[in-house]
Amino acid sequence: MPLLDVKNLSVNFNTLEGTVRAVQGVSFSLKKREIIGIVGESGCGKSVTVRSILRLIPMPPGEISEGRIMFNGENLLALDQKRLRGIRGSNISMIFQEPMTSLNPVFTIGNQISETFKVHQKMNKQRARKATINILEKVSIPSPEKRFEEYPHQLSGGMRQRVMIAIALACQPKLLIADEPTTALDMTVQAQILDLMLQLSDQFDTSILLITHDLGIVAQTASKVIVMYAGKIIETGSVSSIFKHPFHPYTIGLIKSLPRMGLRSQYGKKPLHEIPGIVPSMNENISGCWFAPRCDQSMDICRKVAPLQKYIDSDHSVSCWLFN
Amino acid sequence: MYTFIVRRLLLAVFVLFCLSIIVFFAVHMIPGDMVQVMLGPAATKEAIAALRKSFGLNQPLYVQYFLWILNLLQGNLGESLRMGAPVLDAIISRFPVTLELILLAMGLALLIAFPIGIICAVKHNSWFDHLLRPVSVIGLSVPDFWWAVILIIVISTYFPQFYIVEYMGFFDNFAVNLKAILPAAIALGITMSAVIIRFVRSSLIEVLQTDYITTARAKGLSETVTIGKHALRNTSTDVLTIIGLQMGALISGAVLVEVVFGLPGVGRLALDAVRQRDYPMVQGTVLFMASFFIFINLLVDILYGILDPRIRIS
Repeated sequence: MPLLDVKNLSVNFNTLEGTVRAVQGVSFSLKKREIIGIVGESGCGKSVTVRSILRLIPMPPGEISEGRIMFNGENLLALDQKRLRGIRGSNISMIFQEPMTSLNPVFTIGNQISETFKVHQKMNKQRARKATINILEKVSIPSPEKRFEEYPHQLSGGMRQRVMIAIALACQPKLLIADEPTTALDMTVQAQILDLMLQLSDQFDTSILLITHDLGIVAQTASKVIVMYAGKIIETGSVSSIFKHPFHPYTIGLIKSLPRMGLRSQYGKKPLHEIPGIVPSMNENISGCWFAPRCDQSMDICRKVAPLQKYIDSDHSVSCWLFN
Repeated sequence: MYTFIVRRLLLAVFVLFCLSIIVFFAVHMIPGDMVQVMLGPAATKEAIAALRKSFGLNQPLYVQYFLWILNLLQGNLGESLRMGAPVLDAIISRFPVTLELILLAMGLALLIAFPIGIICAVKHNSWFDHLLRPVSVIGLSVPDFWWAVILIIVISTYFPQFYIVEYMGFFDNFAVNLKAILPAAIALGITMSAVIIRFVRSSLIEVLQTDYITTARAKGLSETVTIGKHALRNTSTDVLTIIGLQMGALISGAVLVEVVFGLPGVGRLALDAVRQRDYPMVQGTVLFMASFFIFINLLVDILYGILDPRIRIS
């Protein structure tokens, strides 16, 4: 049984301009100790997908219109609020993109971490303090006793993200959802934070769902990749298979647009590949493939009928008429 | 934090100095002469000149200002031209009434505004929120002295047992005191609460959309803790600002409401002094209430520091 099994998830946002179909029929599953990377451009629905797992999207205007999210045999979408709160932060945790804004500015680091221990493990103040200092040490924050009393604004971005990791991993969750955890950080700090996340999740047997738009990070960390475009999964497979043999023109475009050693920018030349056009507005009603308007290989059928998911081999599937 | 407070205090002294100039000259620009008013139309020129001289009113204005400020620096607000008693004594004996009225009004306003503002923010765009918006506009648009008149009519007609003609001090007769002040505080508080509801609502809606609230929910905290601890603490500085600023509205509102309800507060003292052209008394009351307003806002600034560590530790 997979740890997490998302089946046919659809999420809409009912706005004044109409219904935005942010996620459309997304299915994937994650095994214990597995690391899956979800990639795609901004606005492709990756954040909404993972936030739906803990029902953290604002409802209304958001609405999970369809689907099932099974975690450890329980449908998270059917749980009552109390049971769901019991899972949030203890069995499934999240790390967000902006360490600058995801910590509450008016409470100390210690207060914010120990809250998790108090809520889920019913610890008293003193034991929670001990546990907090312990986890601060684990995320390599120097002089944790002192940091316990400090406020978020006194810490650097990297340090704050370490604090977020401490909060997320405090209860040794089975699943960690990391929503672009390194995007807002400096290059050198990115590697440290990623390493820390991987090392601790390995220690705690935690599976990771890693959202990123950085294919390099996926290649380094994940075993499986999900490529999303306009609210749909368009290609999924093992990291090696996707990087060696990408099928979908969008995936090919994404991999081509990665900067590589040896490629040099010169005046008048443009060695970095780019995908023409922009992501379509999600409140349009497109009957065919959503990528067709930007695709250089699109055929007549692409604009009329949406392609179905096609398995190329046992763990690599693609939704594209070129392969149907 | 201490340098912050000292800086604020110095600024307050400067503001008060500027204010003293404005108040002094504004008071002397009020048409009509106190001596003329006192002696009546039949007074001879000599009698008027003699009385003016005895009050020191015959000197040039800047000299009068200089003498007044010199006394002020020694804690002497001068003597009332009408009562012949020190201005400060009159103010101090009247101030408890005004203070009680203002605090009670603010307390009532907060008591009404917080629960309603929170519900409106948490359930924003619900029927309750939609209903409350026009209601709060009514609250904002209707002046407090109108509420005062309406309350007097309602109380004297339907609840005559609560109607108090004679004010009594807080420590003299608490029941009578409360019966006298409460309707006035309600009249002041209604308008105030409408302002604060809007502030609590908009500030809380904004805070509820921040990332740290998502973090709090993702941690598995209940909505009560998420809103009550994480969100409200962050709106408190905004709400505190509006409380400080609205103190000005409360003080000016108190003048009218005290007159309508016949409460012997500083507001009524000031209004009577204006009517009688009792210059030192007008200057004294205005300066005193302005200092009170500045003091409250200084308190607000200090509270900011306590509530928001980014201000305290910088």
